[in-house]
Amino acid sequence: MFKGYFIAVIVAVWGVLLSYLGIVRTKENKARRKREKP
Amino acid sequence: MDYFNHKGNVALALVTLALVLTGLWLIIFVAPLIPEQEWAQRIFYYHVPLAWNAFLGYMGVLAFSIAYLVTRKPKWDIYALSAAETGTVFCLLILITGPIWAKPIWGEAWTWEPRLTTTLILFLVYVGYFMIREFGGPYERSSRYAAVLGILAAVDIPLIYFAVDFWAPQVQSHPQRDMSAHSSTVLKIFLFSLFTFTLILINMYKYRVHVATLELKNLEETHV
Amino acid sequence: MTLIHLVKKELYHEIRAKESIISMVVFGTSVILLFSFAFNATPAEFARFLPGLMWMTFLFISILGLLRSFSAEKEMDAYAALLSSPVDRGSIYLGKLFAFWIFLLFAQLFILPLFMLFLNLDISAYPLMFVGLVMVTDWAIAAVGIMISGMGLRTRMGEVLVPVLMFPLMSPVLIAATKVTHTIVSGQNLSGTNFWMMILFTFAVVFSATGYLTFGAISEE
Repeated sequence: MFKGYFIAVIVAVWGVLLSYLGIVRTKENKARRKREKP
Repeated sequence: MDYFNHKGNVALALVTLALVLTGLWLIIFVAPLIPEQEWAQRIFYYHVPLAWNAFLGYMGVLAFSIAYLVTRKPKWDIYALSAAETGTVFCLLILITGPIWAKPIWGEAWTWEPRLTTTLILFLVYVGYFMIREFGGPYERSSRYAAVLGILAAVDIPLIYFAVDFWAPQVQSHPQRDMSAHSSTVLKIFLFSLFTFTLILINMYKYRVHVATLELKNLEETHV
Repeated sequence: MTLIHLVKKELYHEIRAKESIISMVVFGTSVILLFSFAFNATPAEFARFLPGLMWMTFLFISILGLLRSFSAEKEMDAYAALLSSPVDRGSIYLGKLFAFWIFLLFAQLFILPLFMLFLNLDISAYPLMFVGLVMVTDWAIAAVGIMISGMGLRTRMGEVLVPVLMFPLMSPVLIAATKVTHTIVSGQNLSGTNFWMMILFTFAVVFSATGYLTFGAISEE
């Protein structure tokens, strides 16, 4: 029982971690684009 | 991503991924199913390692902040920022997974239980840390202010912990405190998960440092 | 310039401007009135929340007072002048801390009787303990407050940042002070308060030391 709660935790944890990585990735792309501008 | 140009980073990421998948397999198929709590108890394998590693991150913020104030070398500020961000992400996760765990076990998602309350206070403190970085003005100043706040925050942690712990003794402790009563399989899987999350923290931290270094370079070049 | 001179300078400015103390007393009185209206409770019911309300009031008025504690430097651009003089930064911090501590105590001198009159604050069981508690807690508030307002001074949204930063940092102080006040007000045995007083003393000492060491970094420009 309570399988739903367990799944919710796994989804939440990986969701947030991957989102954070996505945010950092966006910052990286932004920083790169700035460097390429003359 | 040229973060992965460096072979060490690739290796670290792959090892971590392997551990994550192994960990999930262990938690789902090997971990004993505790009577009455069952799948909810397994949340413990994720929730507690998050707490340990958030704490690790914040100790990093303390060390790097002091180093920055003493040496004024930007790399220390980058390390502090990265440790603060990754630590706070973990902190947020503790606040999300804690109530999800508490609901089935205690019937209520939030009961001002000491550990979660301490984590909430900590989270707010570090939100302030990011606010001062954002609104603190030019980099030379905002980084200094953030370092001071990083030190204040870390120094406050034990005081917050003890105050909150004894603040409401009538509130039942989070389910995690009974874990010691269970088998050694639980302990082994827990330690495995703890190690895995430490590696996750390190991976995130390193990637953030890589990107922050790039951002700082841009900043320095526009000021020349 | 010695520490004494720094403190005197703060005191003289306040005596002339009267900004901090007046705003603290007036605001404190308003808060007491608001509490009385908002919680339409019997004295017995109120007693449970009184310690918490009292310390929250003092925390709020401290924020107000702290925002003014650098007003001299801000308005007359005296900060640069102060910093270029050969005074050790840590002493500037301690001077402001000590001065603010005195302002806060002075403001409380007016507000506490109002708590006793309107909200039945009763410290007759351990009056000296109460005074000691107030003095230590005020020092703790001042120690953190001077640092935070020193940073908020030059920051965009400084007035918002000061409370946002202070409140979570001060939670152990609020918890401890409230617990001890509750014991005093309900006349219970004082033995349980040792732990809380330890927390307050530790907080006061640790943050004063940190402030002394880092104020240079805060006040640089």
